[in-house]
Amino acid sequence: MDSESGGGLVLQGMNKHFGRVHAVRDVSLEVPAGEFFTLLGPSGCGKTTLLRIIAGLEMPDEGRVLLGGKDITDLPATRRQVNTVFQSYALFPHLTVFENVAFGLRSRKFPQDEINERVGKRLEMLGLEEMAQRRPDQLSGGQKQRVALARALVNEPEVLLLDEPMSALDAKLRAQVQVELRRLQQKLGRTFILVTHDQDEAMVVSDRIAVMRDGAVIQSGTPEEVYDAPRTRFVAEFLGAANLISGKVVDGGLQTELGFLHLEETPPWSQGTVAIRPEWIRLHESPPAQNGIRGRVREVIFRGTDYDLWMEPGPLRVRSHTYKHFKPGDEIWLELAPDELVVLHEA
Amino acid sequence: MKRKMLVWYGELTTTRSLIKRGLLFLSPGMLWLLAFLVLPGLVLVVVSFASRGAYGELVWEFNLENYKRLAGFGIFGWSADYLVIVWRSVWVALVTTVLSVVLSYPLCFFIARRPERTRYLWLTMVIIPFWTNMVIRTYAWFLILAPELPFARLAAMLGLVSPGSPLYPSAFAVYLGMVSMFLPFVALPLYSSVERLDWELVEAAQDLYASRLRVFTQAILPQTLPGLSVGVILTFVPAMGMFVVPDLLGGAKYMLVGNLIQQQFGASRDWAFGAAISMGLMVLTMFSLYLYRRKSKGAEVLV
Repeated sequence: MDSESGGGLVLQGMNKHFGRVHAVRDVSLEVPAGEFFTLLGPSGCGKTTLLRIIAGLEMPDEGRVLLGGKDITDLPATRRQVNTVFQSYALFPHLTVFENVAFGLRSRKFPQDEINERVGKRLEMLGLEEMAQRRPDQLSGGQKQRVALARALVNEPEVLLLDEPMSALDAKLRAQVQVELRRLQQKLGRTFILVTHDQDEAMVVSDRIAVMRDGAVIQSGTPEEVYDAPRTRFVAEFLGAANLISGKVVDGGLQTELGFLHLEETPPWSQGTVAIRPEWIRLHESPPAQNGIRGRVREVIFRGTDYDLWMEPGPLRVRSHTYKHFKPGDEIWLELAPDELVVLHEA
Repeated sequence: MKRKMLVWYGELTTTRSLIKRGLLFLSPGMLWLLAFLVLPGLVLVVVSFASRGAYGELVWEFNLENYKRLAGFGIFGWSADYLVIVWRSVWVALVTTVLSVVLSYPLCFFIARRPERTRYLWLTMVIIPFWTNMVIRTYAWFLILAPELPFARLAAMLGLVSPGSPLYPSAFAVYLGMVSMFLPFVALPLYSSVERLDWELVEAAQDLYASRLRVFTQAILPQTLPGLSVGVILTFVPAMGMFVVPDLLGGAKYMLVGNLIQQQFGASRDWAFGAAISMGLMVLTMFSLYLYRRKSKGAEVLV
């Protein structure tokens, strides 16, 4: 499927200002139908504004929104086949769970028996049958979130928008809900667009991620692409921890404070930064063939499945399995293998 | 006896001293209410069963004549006069309340959407009329509705009144006076609800294809109901007993129950009948509040 068919979404040359703040800068995106797409970025990066533009809750200054090949930029929210799960869920407090879920169908004057059937089906799918007659204030955070999901999905939207839907859940529940959300999307085969600032969440659920900063998309791709090959310092740091090493290009390698590092490719700059993830640094008892650094453990953080080691020189952050024990002061060889060093495109 | 200590919002105390303190703080207010509300109320009940003597004095003789008279059974047979006045009072109070609510909604949304700096200026402007005495404010309408001024001229041009006559006394002038009197009573409590409105619910309703009417009834009305019901009660109850405005702007033909009561205690010197009408008004008000409470409970689960 592609972005022309039903549920495919295209954003062209989006721009949005709030007063003097340039909230969205020249964003163009294509989301094929049936894809789980995530807008990832820190708060204030414009991701929510972009989502609201798609929902029809905000008008772009420039740019077009195309849904299934049709231009919907000038359609009001009430006439877009797009539904939203709001950050606060925005459930109607005076309505029961059933009536909340039925809201969109009632707005469009569906017959009662069809409402019963469709609402019943969604409630069952999300395990909410028992809650049908409760009011939102009698629900837990996780249940509210599922009601909000059911309320949007019952309308069978071409695109489902999710605005930080997990932010009100505790960490344990969040991890579980992320997996459920991913499964749900795959089962329904609908286009989901998620906004989040949580890189783990983005990687768990998404087919593709767009990393945003200051209103612009700086990198997009599959979670693996974005994680393994961050193009800028910001992306490298935002998606999990990364060690950033700066240096000068000398003989196809990099002269750094840690010593000379061989690289797989010659950087496009003469002075710049490379990144390496803590779990990509290999540990050796004896010096490796190249890119070896003698490190000294400064601090050990136990995380259950592994250790986070803060090493001198650096501070370099290394992740190591717990089958070997470490304590501060231990000395060990670190290998920053050339194929693990990512050359950042930003000088 | 072993004293039982307890912690009351961080203060270590005993049940006895809490009760003692409560009585100390409550008794002035209680005494006030007892002396100036409960006792006069009881006197009113007693007086309503007495009758008027030849010179307007009270004759202490238990009878139901006053209530019969209020229900329309007079010396010349049954007439609906008093009931019409009561009904008209309910109607005027109802229309005043509805008009005030209809005007308050846009006003409150307007004020709530002003930048914070000017918002309180607008609110003050709603309150400013309170700084002036009610009677003086009502007389001000005389000026505004005077024959020489544009409103009356316009009405004359349209043939609504004869040229050179003012726009009062009339039902229109009564409603004008009443609504301007009571608008702040609805607008202020309603504003406190509108200010705290969760706009995300409005957006959620739009996102779920709701029509404008549905956005109002499902996303705005339920959220503003607390302020609205306070405003409705604060308007409807005093509007039922209002007599200054209808007296001045409505003239003799537009008598309301408030004027009727005033007349009994004043010109007619029939305190007993006045007391009976007052009782009738009180019962009617209580009954309306009861109906309203039942209805608004229903409105909260409005589907």
